Amino acid sequence: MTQTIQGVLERLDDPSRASTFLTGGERKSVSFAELRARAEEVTGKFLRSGLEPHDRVVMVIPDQAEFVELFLGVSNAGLVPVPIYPPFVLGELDAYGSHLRRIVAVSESKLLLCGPEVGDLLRPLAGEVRTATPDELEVEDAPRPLPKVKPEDIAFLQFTSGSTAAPKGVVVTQRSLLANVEAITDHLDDGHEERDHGVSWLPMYHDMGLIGQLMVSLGRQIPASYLAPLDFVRRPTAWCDLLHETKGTVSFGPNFAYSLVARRARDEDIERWDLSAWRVAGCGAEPIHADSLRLFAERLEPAGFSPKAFMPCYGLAEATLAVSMVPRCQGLRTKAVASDELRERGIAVEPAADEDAHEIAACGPPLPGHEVKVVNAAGSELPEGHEGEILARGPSVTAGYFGDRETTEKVFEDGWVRTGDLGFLADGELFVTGRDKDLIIFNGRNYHPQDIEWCAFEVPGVRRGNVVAFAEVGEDGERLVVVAERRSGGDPEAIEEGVRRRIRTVLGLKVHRLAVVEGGQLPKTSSGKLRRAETRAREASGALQKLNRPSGAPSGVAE
Amino acid sequence: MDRLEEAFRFASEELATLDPAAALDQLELDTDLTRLDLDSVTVLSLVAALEDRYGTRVPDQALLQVRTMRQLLELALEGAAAEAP
Repeated sequence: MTQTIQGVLERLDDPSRASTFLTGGERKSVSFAELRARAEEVTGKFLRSGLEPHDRVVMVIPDQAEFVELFLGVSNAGLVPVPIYPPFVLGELDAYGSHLRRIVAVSESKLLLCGPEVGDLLRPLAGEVRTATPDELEVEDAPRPLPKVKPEDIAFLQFTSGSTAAPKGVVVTQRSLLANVEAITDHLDDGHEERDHGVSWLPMYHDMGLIGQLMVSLGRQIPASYLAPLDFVRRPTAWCDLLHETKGTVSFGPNFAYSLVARRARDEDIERWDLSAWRVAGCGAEPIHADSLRLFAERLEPAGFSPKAFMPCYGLAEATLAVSMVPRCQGLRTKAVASDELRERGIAVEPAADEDAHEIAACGPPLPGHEVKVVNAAGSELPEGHEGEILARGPSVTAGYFGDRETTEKVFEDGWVRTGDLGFLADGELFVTGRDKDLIIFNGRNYHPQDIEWCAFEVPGVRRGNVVAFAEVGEDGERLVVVAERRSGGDPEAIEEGVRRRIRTVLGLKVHRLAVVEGGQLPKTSSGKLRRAETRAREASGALQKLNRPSGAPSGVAE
Repeated sequence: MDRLEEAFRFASEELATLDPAAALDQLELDTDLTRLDLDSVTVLSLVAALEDRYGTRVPDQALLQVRTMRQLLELALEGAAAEAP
């Protein structure tokens, strides 16, 4: 297999197999041979654009078909795409604009390439950088020669929504990209590739859509159908409509997509669908909740969906995309571990009959050529069954963060990438238990902030999904602080009482200080994840406007 | 009944089904939708319901400019057949 996107493009020659793009009920099929011709046309233009090899190009291209041509064409010209998400519904355009300018600055991009439908909107937000839609791009008469892209060159920058700091651009090299694509492709291959048809609604500015679906399809010219992401969000069942219609065999989605379809599918949809061809239902990119996958399988079983199709995966942008995947045809497998043992001693043991248990999904062994180990805080490797930080090594590991040597050195060492995620190994398989960066420790016991936050979501008046829990250090050890957004009209005092009571009764934890704030006050990343560290900083400095009566002063302030 | 008013009634009922916990008692045509705590799935599901009812298509980019229910309904009604429900 080739080691560059240019090589993938050169091999696209099949006039009979195609990528099909669906947007707003319209459908467009482009054969692989035609896609290559279109991408090469784009390349021709970019070779006359005045941009030099390795220059970065931020791409905000909402249309999937257009994105694919541009991504391939720009790559082929020796440039480095920086794909980012387009502005979203009910626009918060100011916030989007500052995010966009930050990414342009961090990536030192020479061009902001906008889809025609967002050009007018983005131009005023772009700042100083050269900005153009593909049609507007000014070109010189004489093209520079087509560069030979090398495996060590940068393929693209993947901006992660690291839940804490400023956006970081992961440097995905041509070699690491194609290594990951090849490992995934081999893993999915069941010897009947001729029957395969990929189906995806995942955005192309996200690694799972761009690599797991698009690049995997292009690598072996496997036909694929792409539903516009916003059309999926409008009508989640359109995903299964498309799988049914195309006899789709391979499709990935995060946990929430499966929940959404399970909730929205009507009986008549399920009666209509034949999903028996769907042999790989990949699940990754966010924590896997066994219950929601089970619900999906139960609901869609009459449509021929096989629970064995589930393929839980683990990965991260810093390792291109995938690190481990459950083998084909094994479906969802879980391990029940005693909650207290895991929390207090970091050991995964079978729970006794009357003990509280956590159910954790198996995420498979590392992909061939890759390694996974679990280490303690001192960096020593832990035996199986012990929880620690997950480290990964192998050809898919990326070259670090663009222009940020300091963070790169912290995260990447001797070929290993520190994932920042917690988990344990059992029989060579990875089980992911949480993120350690945010771990809260009370009285020697470890708590995942998610557990505390989920607990608070249940309280009436709380804006679901918008609670942040963190620890602050007081004289007597760590103390729990919770910030919760209220739904409009929610009574702050009632919310405070409810959250305190619930966290106390469910987890046995005392909330030292609780702030109820208006909806929209909590800082979030570009992809909508809450920023715990930022919330903590704002809360401590008094920058958050509390609606409830003050309780418990921040550390350092006399009580 | 006025077209817009009828659409508003329909949209309010849809919203109540999509997000039973949303604070809709104060919902008016000119309420700022961004203050309603609706997530993007809910908003787009509402858009889809309106599109199905009126046989129209609201362009994704047009949604970026929407602030109020009135603006959303006007977009959804734009180009709808005069006798639509």
